[in-house]
Amino acid sequence: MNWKCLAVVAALFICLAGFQAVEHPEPASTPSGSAALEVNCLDCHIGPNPTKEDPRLAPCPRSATNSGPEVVLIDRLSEQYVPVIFAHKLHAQMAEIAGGCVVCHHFNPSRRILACQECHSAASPGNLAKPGLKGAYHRQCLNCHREWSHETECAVCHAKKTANSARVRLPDPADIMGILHPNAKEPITKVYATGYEPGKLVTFRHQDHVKRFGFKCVNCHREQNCSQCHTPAETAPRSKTFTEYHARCAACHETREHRTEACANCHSDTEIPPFSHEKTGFALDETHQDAACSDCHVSSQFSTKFSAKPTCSTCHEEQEKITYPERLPGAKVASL
Amino acid sequence: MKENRRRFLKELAAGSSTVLLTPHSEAVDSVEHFTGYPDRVGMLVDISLCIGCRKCEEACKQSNQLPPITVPLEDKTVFQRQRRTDAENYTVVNQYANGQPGMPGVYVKKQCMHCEEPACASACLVGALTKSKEGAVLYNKEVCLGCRYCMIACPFGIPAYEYHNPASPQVRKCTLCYERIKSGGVPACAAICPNEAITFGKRSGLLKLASEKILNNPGKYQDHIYGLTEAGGTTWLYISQVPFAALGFPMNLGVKPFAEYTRGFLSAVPVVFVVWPALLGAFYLFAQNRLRQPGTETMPTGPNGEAAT
Repeated sequence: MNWKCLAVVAALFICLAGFQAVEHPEPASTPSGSAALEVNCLDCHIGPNPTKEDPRLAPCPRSATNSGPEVVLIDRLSEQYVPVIFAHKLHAQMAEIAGGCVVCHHFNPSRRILACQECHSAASPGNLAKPGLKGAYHRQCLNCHREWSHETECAVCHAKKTANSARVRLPDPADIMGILHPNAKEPITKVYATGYEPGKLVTFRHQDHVKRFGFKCVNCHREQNCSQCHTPAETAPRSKTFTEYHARCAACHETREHRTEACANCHSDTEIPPFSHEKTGFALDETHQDAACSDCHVSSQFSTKFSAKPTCSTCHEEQEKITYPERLPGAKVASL
Repeated sequence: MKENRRRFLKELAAGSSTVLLTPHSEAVDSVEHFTGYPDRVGMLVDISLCIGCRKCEEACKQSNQLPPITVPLEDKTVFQRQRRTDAENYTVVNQYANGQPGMPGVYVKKQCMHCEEPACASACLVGALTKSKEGAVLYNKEVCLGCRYCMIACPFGIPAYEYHNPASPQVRKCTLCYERIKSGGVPACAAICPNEAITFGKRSGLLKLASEKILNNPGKYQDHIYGLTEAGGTTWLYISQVPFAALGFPMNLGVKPFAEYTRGFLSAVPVVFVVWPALLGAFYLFAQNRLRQPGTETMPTGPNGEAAT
């Protein structure tokens, strides 16, 4: 009799546990990333169904450096200090080769530039990981400035208001509007000396990569800090691994990861003169300067889609009707 | 009589072992399983963010009514020597060389670590130093004898004595701005830090933050939260981009609270002073009592056939 009672009780418990499990199911999947934020999807995405590969983000509100302000006045503590004049345009130019607007405007939605204080509250931060407004401002400036100027005194940025501060005149922002970061010299070619015996020199055609292939500065010059240029003598050369040396080029060019005999494509005993497409018998003159590489080349190994040497009719239909130069033949290119 | 004697000895042994073992083991067990008040606070210093401005020193002195700083904040010559805390400086910032040439120095703020189980409080004869449930190690000048055992006990060399004040000298050290945190505030140094290198919060939350910083910035920080286990854990926690051994942090403290090294001995002291005299006295009385009843038992004889006295 007793064991029957026990069995009934046990069965009841099991049922109860089962029901509880049904009543409180674990959510199948919790939203992750920006989906977990309380923001409208269309604040950042231009269309529905963004994916990781194609996030369909609205363009950066400050994608063009010129659209930002020249100077920003930071006067949060104007009762204690003369406002800090931040040369925004100057910094935006420097940021172009160091990661772009997001170096400072991190976690910014696509359509609008947020002020620091919209996320970083001036009060004591409730979230331990997020700095308050004071910390956010100072870290933004000091991380670079202390590295290249080693100046951390308050007065470098903050002029203290004195007893006769009523008469202290604000510096005219126009005074520093003319200060611009000098354009970085763009080399035509850059020759790297390497330790590879069969060919010690690697010629990198910088201008070709920028002008012809449309690389942006930040595609290669990423995560470079100010001190790399401003105290070059004091910065110790960082030792790189084999893979790190080749990483930049390996993204497009085949390096030793793929074929060992490809070394000679880049490594040579002499500086390789700039490449001219004319050598191939197909000059990229004004009629073809806008053609994309991929229109003719199928891979980075320079092989083309054509079995024989291409002629005009290989690509262009109705060759006889073209009246050059009034009507460029681009629109008439047959699908390749 | 024989039966009585055996019973007496048995009972005596049972009783004394109860007295000897029970209070001792209970006290030790209850302390060993105490892992701290759950909501105790902490301070996390991200050494990579400290710029060496010494605003914390200035704010500390103002908040604790200490004499103002002697070397102006702009004067960087103060870093030419390693300073330590004293009766007028509860906190000091020292400079250490960065391993990489051309990079700015590394600055380390030094103050009372407010140990989870403080050696100073354990060493104090009169309980002038106590650990509050918020986490601060507090000093009570009313009961302090001035023995300075706390200064010897501290593994970080922090408590300082007012040698210049022979009339009523006190032991001085960081108070974790106890009055401020009691009223929901932030310690003065954390509040003033321009780069927010010091974060004040619940110790549990700070440990999580420190772990996240180390995990999310691979290669930046040393994989070490100083203060997590050092000397049994401390209220102040540090993360650094440079090995702690190069920044003047003592690395030989172990993970055992310093109080534990003496706990076994000190908890035996009352037993030794109370139980042993009673036990030995009882034996003595028993032996005396037996000697006064001649003829009841065979007396042991000495080498000369005389009765032993």
